[in-house]
Amino acid sequence: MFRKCIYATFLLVLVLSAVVYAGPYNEAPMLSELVAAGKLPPVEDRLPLEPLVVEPVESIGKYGGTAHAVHMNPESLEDGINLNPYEPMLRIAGDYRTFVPNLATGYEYRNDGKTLLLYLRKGVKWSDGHPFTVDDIIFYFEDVVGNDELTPVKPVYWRPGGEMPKLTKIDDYTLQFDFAVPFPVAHMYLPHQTGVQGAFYLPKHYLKQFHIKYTPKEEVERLAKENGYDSWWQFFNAKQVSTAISGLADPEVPVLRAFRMVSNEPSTKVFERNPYYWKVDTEGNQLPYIDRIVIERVEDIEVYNMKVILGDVDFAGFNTDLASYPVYTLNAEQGGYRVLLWELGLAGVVGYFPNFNHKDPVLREIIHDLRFRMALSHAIDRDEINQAIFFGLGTPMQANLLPFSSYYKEEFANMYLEYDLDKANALLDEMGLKKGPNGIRLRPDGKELSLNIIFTAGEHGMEKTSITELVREYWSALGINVSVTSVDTSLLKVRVDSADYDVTLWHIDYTSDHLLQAQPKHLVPMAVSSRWAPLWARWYMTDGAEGEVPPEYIKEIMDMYRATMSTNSPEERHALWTEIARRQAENLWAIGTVGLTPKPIVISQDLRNVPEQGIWAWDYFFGVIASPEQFYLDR
Amino acid sequence: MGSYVLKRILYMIPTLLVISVITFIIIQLPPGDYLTSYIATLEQSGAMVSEAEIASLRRQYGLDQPMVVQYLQWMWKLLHGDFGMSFQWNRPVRTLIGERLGLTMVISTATLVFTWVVAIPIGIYSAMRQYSLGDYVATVIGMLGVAVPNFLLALVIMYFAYTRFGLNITGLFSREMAAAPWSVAKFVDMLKHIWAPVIVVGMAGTAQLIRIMRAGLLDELGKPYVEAARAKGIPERRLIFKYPVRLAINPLVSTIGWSLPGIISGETIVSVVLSLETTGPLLLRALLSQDMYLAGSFILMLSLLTVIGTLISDILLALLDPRIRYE
Amino acid sequence: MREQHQIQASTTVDSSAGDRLYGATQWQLIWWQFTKHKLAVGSLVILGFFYLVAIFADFVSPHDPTKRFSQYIYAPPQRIRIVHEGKLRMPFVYGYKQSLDPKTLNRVYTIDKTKIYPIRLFAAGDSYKMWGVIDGNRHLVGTGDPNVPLFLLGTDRLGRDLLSRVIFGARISLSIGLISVFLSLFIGLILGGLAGYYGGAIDNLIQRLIEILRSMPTIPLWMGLSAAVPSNWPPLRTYFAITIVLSVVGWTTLARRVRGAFLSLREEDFVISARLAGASERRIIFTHMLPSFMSYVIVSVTMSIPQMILGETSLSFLGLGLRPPVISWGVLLREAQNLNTIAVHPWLLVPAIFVVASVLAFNFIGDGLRDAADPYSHL
Repeated sequence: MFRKCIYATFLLVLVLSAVVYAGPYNEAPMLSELVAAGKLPPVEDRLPLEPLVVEPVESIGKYGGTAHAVHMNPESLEDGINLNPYEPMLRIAGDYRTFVPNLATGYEYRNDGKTLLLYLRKGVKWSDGHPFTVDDIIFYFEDVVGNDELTPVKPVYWRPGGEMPKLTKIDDYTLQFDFAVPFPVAHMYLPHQTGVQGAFYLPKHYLKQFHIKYTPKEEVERLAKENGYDSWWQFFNAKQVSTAISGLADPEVPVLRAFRMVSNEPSTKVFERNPYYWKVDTEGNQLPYIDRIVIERVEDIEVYNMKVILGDVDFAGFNTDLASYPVYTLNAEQGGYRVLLWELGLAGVVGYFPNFNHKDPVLREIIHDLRFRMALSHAIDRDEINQAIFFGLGTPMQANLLPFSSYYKEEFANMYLEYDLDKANALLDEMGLKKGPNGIRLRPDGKELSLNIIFTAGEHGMEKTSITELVREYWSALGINVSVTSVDTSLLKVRVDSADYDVTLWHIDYTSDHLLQAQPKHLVPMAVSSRWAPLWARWYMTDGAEGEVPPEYIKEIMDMYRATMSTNSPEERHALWTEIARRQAENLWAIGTVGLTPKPIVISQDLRNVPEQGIWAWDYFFGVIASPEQFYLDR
Repeated sequence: MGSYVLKRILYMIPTLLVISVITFIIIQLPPGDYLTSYIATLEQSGAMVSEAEIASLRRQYGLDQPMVVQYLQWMWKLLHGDFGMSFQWNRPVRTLIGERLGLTMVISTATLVFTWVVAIPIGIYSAMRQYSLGDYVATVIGMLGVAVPNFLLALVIMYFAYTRFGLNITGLFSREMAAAPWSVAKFVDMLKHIWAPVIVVGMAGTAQLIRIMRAGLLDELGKPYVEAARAKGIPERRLIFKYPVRLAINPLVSTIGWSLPGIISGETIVSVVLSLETTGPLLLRALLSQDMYLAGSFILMLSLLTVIGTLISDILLALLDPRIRYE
Repeated sequence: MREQHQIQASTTVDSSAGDRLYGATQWQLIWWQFTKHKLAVGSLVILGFFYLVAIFADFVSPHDPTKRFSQYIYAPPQRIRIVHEGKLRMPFVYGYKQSLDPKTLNRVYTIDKTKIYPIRLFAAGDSYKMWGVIDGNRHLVGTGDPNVPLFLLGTDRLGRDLLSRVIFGARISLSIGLISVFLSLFIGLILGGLAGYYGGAIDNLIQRLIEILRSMPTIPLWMGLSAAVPSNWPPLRTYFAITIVLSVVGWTTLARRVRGAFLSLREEDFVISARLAGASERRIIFTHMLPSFMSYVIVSVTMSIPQMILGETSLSFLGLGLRPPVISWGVLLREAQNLNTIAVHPWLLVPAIFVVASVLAFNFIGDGLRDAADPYSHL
């Protein structure tokens, strides 16, 4: 049974990669010139044996042009990543569930799931022409992740059983991972880089000159000092940022992405096509179609919006918000762009997390009472939220899973969902929380029942602030003294880590099958970001050394989660996940609001091959699901 | 004079020491440190960080040391001309500030010139025609610059410059020029964009100058020597520009010293709104993310400039007006 | 320098002003001079009006500022009309209906001429508890029904009446200026006075302190101090914390001015005479010197209030100041500072007009006072 399943998965991957194009190949005019001048080998020699064939969304593209985008965070290129994404081993398919080949062409489990064999695409080359092999992955795991100076924080997902896997090179294109315990979900981590604070692979041939294992330490330290760094690891980290998810780069470091950086100014980054890019379209044209990407940095969200309506950008999605939709459409003609409405792949732009580890025993007991959580949920008028903030285009839902999830059930998303103030009040009355003289309910110890909602605006900040303003009033209507505090990220972290808050909130991400497997933070208290029970999560993470011992019913969920990671039966895994999701829905660990809200994506009139509809979420790498390497400019 | 200047310079040393301590405390005041926000960011992107890993990160960044030790290390480096590394950018602080300094100074100087060119004539006019309609209008316009919150003004100008006149004034360069090397064309391109920040920032400064100019000139105009000159029949225009205006400008000249730190830091809020790659937003971001060395070294640099600026102001004032005695 | 001219100026006073002038008290003289500055007088009237409105905010505002009309999100301001179908009527507003433009997702409001809501004085409306003491439900203007909208300045993103919010915002923003200035004044007077009167080592120490505070860039100072305000404090306490933040940064200017005034007064003839006559230090300061420099202090205070008001808005811009659900002009402006507002809902920028008006008014009053503070000059 197990063998068969694995074989089926493996076969699926092979079948998908069987869309083979057998040449001849074409290339961009700017590259043909270089080839003619003898500065570059011909296209056939640059492409791998079997290049990845990408089917264009609308039509075969035209070569040329410069695409523009802007970003705000100095630590990430934001929309720049959407145009020039990180290349993972596998990619997520259009159904948002299955995986298709990318740098890897297939994988295979052996030894009851304790061994993973990874097959790389043969003949892929770095942007400097050097071959990409399993050595680059081993270099990353052994010399970068394995080095405590370079990586004090180890990627957690590749440590099943608490140990890093052992990597063995079978040949240049076959890599064997040996895990300490069965880990037949390793492939779930291959299409997404979450939790791997690096790249999974690095250009060893280039970076080894900066690594103390391959170059004498004095030499590396001298280089670091020359470049203004205090120590070799700072310098190395500045170099390896190139291959990380952020999209930032050092022009000297070779990449596998569609574009390589050519200039890096504080306000402007310029990227040019990677002549060795390993993907072609269905007619054998080497991708990408676009010649150049220029990414400017702006300081303020309104300047970002201004750039959008000026028509200064070809693709904007990272920081666009629905509230600005009217001003986008108002200027669309003058700015020469189109506004697409995708869907935000969140099971709630906001979910509220009451603190199950509250230090105040009275309030804690109240929070532990399901009737209280039900009352909080029934008091929320989700239709008003939907109308006021999302123009009625979102879907009221609980903070559970999305329809794209394999484990989704409509009843989970709709549990305790309806707006019913009488029912909510009745539930609180039933709990014995009587109203005092001024209309505020009193706790069993005679104090007024107060809830403070503490949050940080951050991502989807506008929506979070507005919805919370409304929720404050909804809960006040129940006779609860509700206050709202907005703080910055680090203060929130300090408060959540020490379980020193009443209620906090977050958007409900990590609902896709692969990220749920990696980090089901909203369903299972297993990560610091499980904001409903941080101390139980710490207990889980430290194997009981720190935090607080959870009750039996929580331990059960934790055990179920562990079982999903080690079981070799997909059916059993499916059943376990469905049960975990049911427990979440029935117990209402978090209180949901409105999800699947519209997400405006602004693209210039000239930008083609962008899907009209799509899901925008970190779970699916934002715009990357649209295969940006096949975008082209029709100018 | 010489001993006065020397004394002042000696005073600067304890002042700067105290400032460095205050700066350090201010940066440490918010809960947590750079690592707290860094780890929060890591966790948001899905990482799980254990206590042991946090401890080793802290050691790596030198944040595990007691505050006093951290402070001394910072001062030690500063005294050797090393501004330290920025945590957030993973680049040396010197480089970060350096690459923004040129543009910042261009904008600030242009603004300063704008302010003077606008404020002095208005100030003179207002003083000569005190309580006339013109005086009122000039004062109201001058004051508007102070009264309108400049982040809003910047935003409104930015939007209407585009929708009404098709002008793009975000940033200092058009997008074609942004990545280009310096050339005449790029300089011209910059001139096309620089007016907006100059006006927005300059507006705020003019009212102050108008006021000083007007008050100073009014004071002078009431003096006997003006009466005497007028009685002698000297033409009004010559009379006013010969002495009173020159004397009234003296206190303005002394403000030049005070502008010194402003020239380096630029106007933070306007730079944020108009997306200018100046040093102001860099400092703001560093403070927000508790990027200790970047924020600290930069604040200290600005404070040093203020102290020097004050000294220059006082010396200028003393040179211009011999009546002022040195204490 | 100035005080020197004052004496010179006094010799040039037109003697025809006569006994009235010489017999008047200092305050009378200041007032007479002040009334000559027409802008200043006008400003005084406007500010007086603003403060009255702020004090009686519950009564003056047409609606409860936190009440949401979910059918009227981003409703534009209603026009007060007096003509309906060609006939003259008492002032009234038309009702309006919302529809969503599916293409632009813009909320479009159309006037519904069949719905006429007369504007009544002392109309019944949302109930309130003024200053936490007086219960009431009468509002200066209203339609008589709290659920019938009267949006003279339009509504915001949650359908709340902007005019009511501006009025309640005035309460915070106008008082924050006053309180912070008085705090600054308190610190400034004591330290500046000490420095100015005693001179020597004390002066030197205080001078250094001022120099240090003034040498620090404002924004980091603000940020550091605001960060020290615990974020779980209730709004009222945060409000006072912000006033303290503003005054800690702002007192140095006042202290410098006070010190300057003290320094020069110390050398004045009348102070020296008093000292020679054997008056105590206390008496010299409070009886002789204080009245003389009160005018300086008042001018400085008036000039500082606008900075405090603007400081509040800047703090809000940086996200360090007051936060919703507190209503202040800074909070309202922070919500309005986006392109969508400027392009689609420009009425939300109205709070800026009130900020500008009150800042201008304080400045003109300050100008008027300063011109008037030299009672013998330019008469």
